Amino acid sequence: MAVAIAMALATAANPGWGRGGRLCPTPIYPYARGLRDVTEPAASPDWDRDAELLLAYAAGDETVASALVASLAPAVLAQAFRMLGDQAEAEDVVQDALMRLWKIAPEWRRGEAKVSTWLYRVTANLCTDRLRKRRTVTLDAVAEPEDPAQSVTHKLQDVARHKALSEGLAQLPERQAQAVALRHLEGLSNPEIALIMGIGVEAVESLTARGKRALTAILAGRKDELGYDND
Amino acid sequence: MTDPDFKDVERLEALFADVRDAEAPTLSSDLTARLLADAQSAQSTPQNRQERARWRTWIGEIGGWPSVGGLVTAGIAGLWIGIAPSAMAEDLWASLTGESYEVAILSDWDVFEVETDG
Repeated sequence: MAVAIAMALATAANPGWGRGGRLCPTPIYPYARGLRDVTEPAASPDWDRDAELLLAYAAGDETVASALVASLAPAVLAQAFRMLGDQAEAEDVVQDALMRLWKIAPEWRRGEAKVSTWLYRVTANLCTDRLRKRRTVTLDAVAEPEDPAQSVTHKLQDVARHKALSEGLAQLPERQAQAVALRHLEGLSNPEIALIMGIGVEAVESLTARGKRALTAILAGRKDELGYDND
Repeated sequence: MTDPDFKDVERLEALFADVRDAEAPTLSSDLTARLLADAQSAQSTPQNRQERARWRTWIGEIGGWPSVGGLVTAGIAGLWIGIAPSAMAEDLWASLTGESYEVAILSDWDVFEVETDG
């Protein structure tokens, strides 16, 4: 018991020891360790400019936050928008994800996971949290995504399709939804997804295959709404 | 679950492609301002950084987090043995010294003050 308590205390004190949970700043994937040696030259392809900026931010440099925002926020916004199909919600996710980054900055360790990899994971988690909450409200109650050009018919169709996909993802188990979104919406490879999710490549393949099969079945019931047969 | 129809799979692939290729929203100036305000408010003060650096140095000097875990384990184990010593530990002590000790930590301590005067 004492060992279990001690391990729990040590894990709580250093979140980097976790299994790569939601707030793990430096996920301990077998692949992530030693992604870049500290002594590698800055020109190395594995050199993470964002990590260097983040370390400068943690050290008190007030000027680097805007560079980090410019570098990271657009990708987070795009990922969240693709998963959620709602710009306002996606913007909230960006703010949550970057707030977690600012808070974790002092614990960031050079040479482990890349900032972009960490953000993919945090964003996917934040999005699936929101998708899960949507399950508890009726689908019709989910706000219609804003469309700036509603007069254009095909734009409306795009919005409806995006909404249908997002609602379909909401019905999947979280890990399946994350794997499917990272594979088919972000276009990442299975090894990249494995790194982000902290699991093996085979587990990614399994999650993606099951998720895609379930999503196909869910959306089969909405084929008229999707309108592909009329295109 | 039955295998999905080929047409259903094609439809899903088309849907993925549409969403993937759709134009992503751009970062508004309002959101950028909020993000920068968050960054500023979350940035730790020089005092916090000094404090953190002191802890990090101390932990590094004793051998890192695994050592802290070991210390905590040893501390808890010691406390536990002190409160509830096993018969084996008492027998071992008695056989080494020829004496037996009984230390009552809590017997005189009326935690809930259930004993009344008189």
